[in-house]
Amino acid sequence: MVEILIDEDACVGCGSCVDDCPNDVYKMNEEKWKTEVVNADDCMACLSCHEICPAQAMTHKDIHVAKRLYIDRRVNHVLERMI
Amino acid sequence: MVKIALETLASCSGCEISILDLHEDLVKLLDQAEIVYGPIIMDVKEVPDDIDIAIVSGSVRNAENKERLEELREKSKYLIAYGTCACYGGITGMADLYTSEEVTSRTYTDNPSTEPAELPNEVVPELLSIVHPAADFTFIDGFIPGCPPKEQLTHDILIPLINDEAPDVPKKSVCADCQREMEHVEFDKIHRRIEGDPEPGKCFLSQGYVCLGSVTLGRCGALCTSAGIPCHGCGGPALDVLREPSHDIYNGVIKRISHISKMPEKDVEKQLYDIGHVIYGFVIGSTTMEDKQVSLIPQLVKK
Repeated sequence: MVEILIDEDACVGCGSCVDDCPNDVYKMNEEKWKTEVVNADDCMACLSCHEICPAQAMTHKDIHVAKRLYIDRRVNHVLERMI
Repeated sequence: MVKIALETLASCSGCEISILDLHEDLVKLLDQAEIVYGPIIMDVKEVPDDIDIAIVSGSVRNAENKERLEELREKSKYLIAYGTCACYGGITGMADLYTSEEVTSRTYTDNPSTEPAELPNEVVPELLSIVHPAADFTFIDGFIPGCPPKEQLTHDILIPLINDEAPDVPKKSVCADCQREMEHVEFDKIHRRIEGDPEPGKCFLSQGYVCLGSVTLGRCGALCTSAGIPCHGCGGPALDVLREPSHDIYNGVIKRISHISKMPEKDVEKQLYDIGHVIYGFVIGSTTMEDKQVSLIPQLVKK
């Protein structure tokens, strides 16, 4: 099972992850108007929610991210040294 | 004592002022560190040896900038590219939208607001053909984008660095700091920033304004959007945009607007205007952003 953390301060309540998740992992919390994880068991760590979230509000813990086939060496240099 | 050097290349010197904006914390910083070089705040001309942390702001526009940068690299242990100009070319990079001749003639021989003068050719350093961020010429140990990096961020980074600790600061987009509420609203017209009165409390994108918040590295406290101004992208690309080869500021904004408004991406693209300034304004000088296959920067730059 994947543990998903939501940064509620960052979440802008757009509901994009709720629409986008293929496995209905997220639901809008109607009171707080923030996204909420309701179905973490079904998460397959496709990370499409990371892609769609404007505020980078979610973190998936302990997942294996497949090594990307192409990452520019110069881009990596900047990413590693970004403070 | 940790020896710090501050250098301003082609920039507005706002980055150095942002370090002075530490106010009382500057005193705390100076307990452990000594500023040994910083032409903008002290009377010093030559770069001393054995610098521990060199903080370079501004882009490399002429031969002198390049020489200074290389000298600082040689004489320092840890070199920081401080501010968006040093990291991505920043606002100075917009000079790349014109040729060097166009830029110089506009300033000297063909300036409509002053008496025309001849182009100086003595004692001034030679202009490079395009604007470069610092990383184009030398090895950088740390990147801190921001225009300028805000004082709290500078404080949270510099104090640990001086104590030889790793700084722990957020790396999320501007949306993470923004208090406006994003909603999915159908619309078919994108407004220019000068049109109408944006509603407070509601996301600019949901109102049809071009806001770069979701594709821009934040840590600025979303100052502009809380003051009613859409994000101009001064923090450089968000790390997701930088990391993925298929992501770019331009296609990121188009996808976001199309997703919120249900407008076809093609229609959004048709309505975006002056992308050299509005979309790529702060990264046009960046080689890393230019080299992405999806980037439109190569079409805009005049070399």
